[in-house]
Amino acid sequence: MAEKMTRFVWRHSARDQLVLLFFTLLTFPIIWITLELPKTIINEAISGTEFPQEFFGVPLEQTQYLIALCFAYLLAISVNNGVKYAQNVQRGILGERMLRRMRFDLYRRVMGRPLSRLKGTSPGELVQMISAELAPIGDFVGAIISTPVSQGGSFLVYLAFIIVQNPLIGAAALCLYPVQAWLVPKLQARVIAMIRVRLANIRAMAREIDESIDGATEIRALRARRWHMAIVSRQLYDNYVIRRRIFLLKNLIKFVNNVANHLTPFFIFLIGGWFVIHGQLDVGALTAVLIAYKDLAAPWKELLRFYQDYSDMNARYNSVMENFAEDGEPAPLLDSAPVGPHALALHGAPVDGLSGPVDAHAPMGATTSVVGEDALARSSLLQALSGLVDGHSGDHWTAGTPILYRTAAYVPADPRIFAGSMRDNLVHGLLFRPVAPGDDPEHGARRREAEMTGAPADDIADEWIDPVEAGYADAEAVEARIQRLVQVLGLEDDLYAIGLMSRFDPEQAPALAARLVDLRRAIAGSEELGEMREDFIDHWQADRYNPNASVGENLFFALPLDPELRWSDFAEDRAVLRALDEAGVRQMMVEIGLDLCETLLSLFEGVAADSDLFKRYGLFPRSETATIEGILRLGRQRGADKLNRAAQARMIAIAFGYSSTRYRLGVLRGTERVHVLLDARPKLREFAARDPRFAPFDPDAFHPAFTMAENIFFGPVKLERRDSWAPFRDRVDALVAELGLRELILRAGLAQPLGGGGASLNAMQRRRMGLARALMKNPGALVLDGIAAGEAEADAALRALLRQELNGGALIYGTDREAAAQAADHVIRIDRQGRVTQEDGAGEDPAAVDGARDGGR
Amino acid sequence: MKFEAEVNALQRTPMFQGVDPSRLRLLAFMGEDRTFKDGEMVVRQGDSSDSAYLILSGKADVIVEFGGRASTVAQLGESEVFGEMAMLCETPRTATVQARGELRTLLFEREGMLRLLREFPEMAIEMSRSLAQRLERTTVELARLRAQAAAPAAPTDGG
Repeated sequence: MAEKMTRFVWRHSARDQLVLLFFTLLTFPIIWITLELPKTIINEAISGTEFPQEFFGVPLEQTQYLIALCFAYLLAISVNNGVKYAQNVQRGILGERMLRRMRFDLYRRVMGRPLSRLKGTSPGELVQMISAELAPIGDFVGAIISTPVSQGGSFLVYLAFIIVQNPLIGAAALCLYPVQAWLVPKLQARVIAMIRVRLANIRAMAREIDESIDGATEIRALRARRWHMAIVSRQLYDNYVIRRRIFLLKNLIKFVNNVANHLTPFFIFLIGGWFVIHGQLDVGALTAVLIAYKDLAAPWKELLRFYQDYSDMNARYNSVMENFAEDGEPAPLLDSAPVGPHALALHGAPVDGLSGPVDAHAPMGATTSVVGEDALARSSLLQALSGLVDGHSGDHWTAGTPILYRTAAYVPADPRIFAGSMRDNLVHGLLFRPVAPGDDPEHGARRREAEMTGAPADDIADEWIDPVEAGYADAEAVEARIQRLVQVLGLEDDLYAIGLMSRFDPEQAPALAARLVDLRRAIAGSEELGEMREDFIDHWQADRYNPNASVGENLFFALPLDPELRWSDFAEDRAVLRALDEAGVRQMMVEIGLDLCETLLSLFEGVAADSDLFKRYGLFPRSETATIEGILRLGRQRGADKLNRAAQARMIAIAFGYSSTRYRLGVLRGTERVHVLLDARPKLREFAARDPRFAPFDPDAFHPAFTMAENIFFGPVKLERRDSWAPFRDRVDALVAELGLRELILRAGLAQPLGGGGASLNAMQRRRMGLARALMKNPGALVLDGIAAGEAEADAALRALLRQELNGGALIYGTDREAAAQAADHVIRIDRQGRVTQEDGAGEDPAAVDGARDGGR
Repeated sequence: MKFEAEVNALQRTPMFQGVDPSRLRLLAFMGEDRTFKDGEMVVRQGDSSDSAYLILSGKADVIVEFGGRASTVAQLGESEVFGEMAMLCETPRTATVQARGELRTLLFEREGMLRLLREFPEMAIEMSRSLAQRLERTTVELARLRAQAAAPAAPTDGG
């Protein structure tokens, strides 16, 4: 898009700009009136002698006339500002829409880039351009026509008014403008040049930051951290130098303008005063000129600023758009695939890294291997076969099915898992386009906005999955397939664990909540399981201190409802502190905190300040050490109760988080303090039950802040028995399955967000999810790039499993092993020169080979 | 003093003999209590390992499985450390350790242990000295066994 900013703005907002222009023109006569009225007020109402005066046909006495004129003035000012308000609002909305349009347009172009080019794109740089660099342009373009017209127009109106009063004064007022008009653009040009340098500098920095995060492992392995920090430090220095030069220049421009503006009244007083003394000008007119001159400065300033902004924004705009100049209009998204006789086929297609146009195909319903030594060439060919190379059309690529998203499912060795739940990830391949509108009330508003800014009307609140088109009987069948794939691909145990760790709102699923509590009771009631529970779980009992839990939980016998919050987050809460006071344990809590800090500090004596030992085993961050030491000294000298409020809260927060079994620091002094804490529990428990921010532990009720597992066991696993509790867990798992709860927990696991784009998953789990996601599409061909690529039994078994789950779809896999390649019905070979040939393979299953040979030719 | 019992136990192990008590106190703090009942497995041969254990009280059997036959090769008692080699080298457990009667141990995680060693290199030196001594003993033992194996019909019979 090598289009100029002004052209872009005009093309997309001509109508709105004209509306704005109309508002602007409307203000000019009003401005003239606001200038004319004061003159009339002074000359005719205040200094006048001929009364009664006619005012819109009504004769008025002097005072009445003055009041009438003043109110007319008030009205004119109000109308003027009202119009300005409407104009500003309109301009703001227009600017926001233009910004949205520009941003989306760039994102669309990036999404349309060929994969080969996207690999060289730095995400940091793009984010910087799309989010930060474009933002001020949006503000600006809303006003791109109305500002010069309105400010220039006002300027001319004021000027004309002055000249009408007396041409000589007009000339005096004008005399310095030419100087500014000549000097300012010269300075401005230098500012623009600097702005370009600044943008390039910021982008380079974004790229460097990008690289240091992307290459963090290597940077650490190379021990090059200081070098990379030095690079950014240097870039920040350059940035500072550039910014300093820019603001020096900008201030110089301001200085020139200010001097010019303040010199003018000198001429007005001198020349205007001379005329008044010699009776060639009345005082009213001179006053009006002064008012007009005062107002003249504002639009002139605005005009200059507009000029500065215009050049600034133009520079920004061009420097952003340069990066997208090569993009052109992205290829339109295809609705359906060109159909051919094979599951997938390339016809004389150019493929990166291979010599000459490639002809290759994968027969319907058979297995095909792509064998070659070069992994990159193999990937290239597999991607081309899958139709991932851009600009494919029936000339170069065909598939067995017209439904584009079901033609092929390409799975790389390390599939990318997206933010969202496991279910979201598994149905990702079915989200081709919206198929039915959702029932969101804001749908219409979003759609209108989208249309107004050139964005597609696709709404994520719509229904995007068409089960029938995707090869399922109905939505239920999609659900059933998800569960089946989770099971056959060995994801079920992971999913079960995720489900057990999830929380849910008991009001949404009261039946499940009740059944979990039933299970909890059944375990406690069972002779054998109950005994095991005693052994392994420190379950909550109203009259027992729980050493495996924190002091906070023990005191209040409750947890904050928000699972993100711990009791230590409430140490500054007034209600909580009052409750501690009433229960008589506040001072002891401070003392526990002091004891803890003292013990920890002495334990970690001699540990280097930057050691991560402390981070992991301490109760407060190392950076706080100095503060904590200060509190400790004061607390020991003057007593815990003499500490100020903040210090006490800090100590209480630390004490809240202490768990006896985890830290074993003995600060509860055997049972001495435990008894005090237990005695305070009834009162504090009552407090927590009353306060809606907390949920008390109740052996007969579901706890909303507990995970499912915690709800079943009703207490933490004893730390000292953590290595031995597996048999108990297995027994409970079996019971869960027996009661039919496993299904429900699995379902909950499916809806649970996966942390950080699947960062919590290991490579094996990601790969399995990638395969399940691909199979969900019921693809005409499943293409494996780096999975199940060997001749080992496990690989062959996985290929067999996938074939079975493909329901007649073809299986294509890349490999560098000849033996593995020969196991396929059809072999596509890449030789060392990058030439592609095809032959029949031995086939893993003789029956399939025959069918494939018939279908393949 | 806190962790007195643990520090005493640590001091009695050859590996930590030369280490400053204040460091041992920190080490003890970083450990976690683990107790086992009679017959419970502490570690299993072949499992991946990320922790070592110090026996605070009780006894444990060391069982090695070889060719489908399991045999008890040693017994561990109070103040003995096990699992440290596999933990440091990230190799699978070379033997199974099973509690014999009530067993109280202190568990040390690899992460924490490595951080501690990084923090106090003199501790690492002490530890490697003790490991080297143990290796030497093992080497001598191996040499002796080899010599025995090479001369099965010991001449003592004939004398």
